[in-house]
Amino acid sequence: MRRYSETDERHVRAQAQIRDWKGAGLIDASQAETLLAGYRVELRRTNVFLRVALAFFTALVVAAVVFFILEVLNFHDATGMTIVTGVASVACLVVAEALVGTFRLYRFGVEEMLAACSVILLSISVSEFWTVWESSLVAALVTSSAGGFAVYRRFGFVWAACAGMCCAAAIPFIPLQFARLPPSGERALSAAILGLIFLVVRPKRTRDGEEWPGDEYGVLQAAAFGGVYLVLNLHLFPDMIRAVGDRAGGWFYWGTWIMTWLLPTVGLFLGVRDKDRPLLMVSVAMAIGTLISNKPYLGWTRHEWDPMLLGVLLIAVAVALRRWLSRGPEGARYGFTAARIFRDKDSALTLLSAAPFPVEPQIHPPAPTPPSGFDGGRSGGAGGGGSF
Amino acid sequence: MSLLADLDRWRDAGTITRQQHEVLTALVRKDRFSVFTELTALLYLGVVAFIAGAGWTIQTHFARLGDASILLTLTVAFGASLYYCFSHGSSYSHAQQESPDFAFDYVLYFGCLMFGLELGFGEFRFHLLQDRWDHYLLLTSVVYFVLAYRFDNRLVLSLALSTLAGWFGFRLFRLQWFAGSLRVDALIYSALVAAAGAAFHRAGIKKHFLEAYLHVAVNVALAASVTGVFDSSTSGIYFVVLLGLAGAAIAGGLRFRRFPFVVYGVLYSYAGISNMLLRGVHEDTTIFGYFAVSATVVIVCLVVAARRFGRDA
Repeated sequence: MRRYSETDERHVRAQAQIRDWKGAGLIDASQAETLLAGYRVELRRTNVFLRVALAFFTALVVAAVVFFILEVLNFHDATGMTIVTGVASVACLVVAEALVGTFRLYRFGVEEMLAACSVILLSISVSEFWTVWESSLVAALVTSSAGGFAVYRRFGFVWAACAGMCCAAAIPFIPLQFARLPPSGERALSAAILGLIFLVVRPKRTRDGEEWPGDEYGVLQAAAFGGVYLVLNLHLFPDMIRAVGDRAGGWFYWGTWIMTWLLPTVGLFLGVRDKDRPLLMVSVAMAIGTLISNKPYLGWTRHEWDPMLLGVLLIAVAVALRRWLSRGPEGARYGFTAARIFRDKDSALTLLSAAPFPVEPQIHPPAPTPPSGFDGGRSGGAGGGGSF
Repeated sequence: MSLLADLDRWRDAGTITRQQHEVLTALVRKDRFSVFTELTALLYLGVVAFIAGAGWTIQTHFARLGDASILLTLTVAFGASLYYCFSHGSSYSHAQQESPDFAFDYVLYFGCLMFGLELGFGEFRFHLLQDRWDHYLLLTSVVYFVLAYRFDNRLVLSLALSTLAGWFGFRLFRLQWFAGSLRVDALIYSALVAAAGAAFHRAGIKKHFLEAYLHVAVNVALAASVTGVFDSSTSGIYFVVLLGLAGAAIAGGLRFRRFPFVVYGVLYSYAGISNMLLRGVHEDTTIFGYFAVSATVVIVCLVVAARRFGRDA
């Protein structure tokens, strides 16, 4: 079923690990050369920057060709769209297969985007069958979901499975005329779908660990777990959730509140116990999300200084953990260390940190007008100020 | 065959030493699991959350808190950060230096953000510089540059570069980006930033900072040029500038194996060239045909570049 052999997949990962070891100074260059010689693969790869650019221009070509054909053939009705997008979908898949088969492309951007376009075009083609908008949307999501998982099974693109997961989780939110769920039901069903994916993937992750394909299952497991949290936390995105949250029933509301505490706790426990990095990172993110959303859940007033308290807590946790770990024997406790081992592992953080921090734009607001004496509580010296 | 079995094989064959085998086996088995990145991320998020909360609190409650107490608190925070950095940091060196401890970089970052907050609040309340308020930005960026170099901190360097960009007339959040003379300001800014980065690099002062300078300079220059191309009154001259800059970015990126610059050059120049070629074209088939053909040409060129220069995954 897989387009790449198990040997190729394992060798690609082994190469990456050997390069990490070399980068960390654990082996020298000549040793790395010797070790890499045992893991040769006949695959064409490129770096992440060119990969992204190639994917972008591939998407542009596919979109332009499809619209060009629609214009030339003057197909502006549903039937025309169905035929053209359906044929284009097959063509994209065939070309992706050919590129992988003939040129042995591996995570090259082009074949990835062609596979993605194949699924998207097929979804559009399928959705054009339905005249009712909601039904066509459900059809598109079902097709995208199945297509995403199929692309993952065929090419090993983890992002495709994650996209498929998102589409599957979105299906319950589409209100159908014949089966309209209450808001709580929509969220519960969506969480159940993601939870089912988690339960299917988890045993595979436990079985394979970090060895391929266990690393892929690790990402999928963490994504599904994080997805359950995102669906169930009614206060994570205030503007988006407010309308839905208000409609949710009392038992469901408090059930989701319990889940917002339970999921990060379970995730952190499993992540720490299994030293599962994707699950650990997702669980930390969920824990921060819970701290942010807890006050609105309980109906407590949010204060301007709440982010400061959160910041102090995060800093305290980081510093305390670091100290605790580094004071253990050989700078480690229970196999965990706070020491930096691989230098190129924190490139995402470097990118995040390099973003300019917008402090200065607030520097020049209009001059505040002096209080008139009737606009606040200035009188008496101890009164609070009015509105500024 | 698993990597663990291979490690045993390499040890038996003498490819790696017994000590290396022990260390690598511990890593593969996850007997030694580093959480450095996770803890650093927590620290960074903590600092950013704290500063955001401090700014919000001051903005909302400055009347109740009082100017003196706010300024005193911010000054003490900035001073304490500096004291920590000067007392814990190693002496200055032109070369790249490791942080003396885990939180060091973030303490300095925190202090710098507090300093920015303090200057912003001071101007908001007292209007010392009136219409020349932007000089605060220059002062702030100078302080940031000095501290970034003194303590070898790329976070603070990025702050310094963005603050300097503010002084050059960028009005973030005010929707005046690259309008009229700001485009020229942007080009001057990027030229100065690139020249400063190159000069420091040539002088052997913090050579590893060069890439940070170039990322900012190239993006600002290309963005300014491409918006100049989009503006029909200035498109001719900016088109030439864009092609020159994009060509330099691509050539330099390929030569020095810095592929983000190749991508910047390709994307910005493609946007500019497409705008020029499609100006006045209203036929949909021509437009779609153009994108299909031109993007295919770009893909072929990128594939050739990827095969020749960018094979590392």
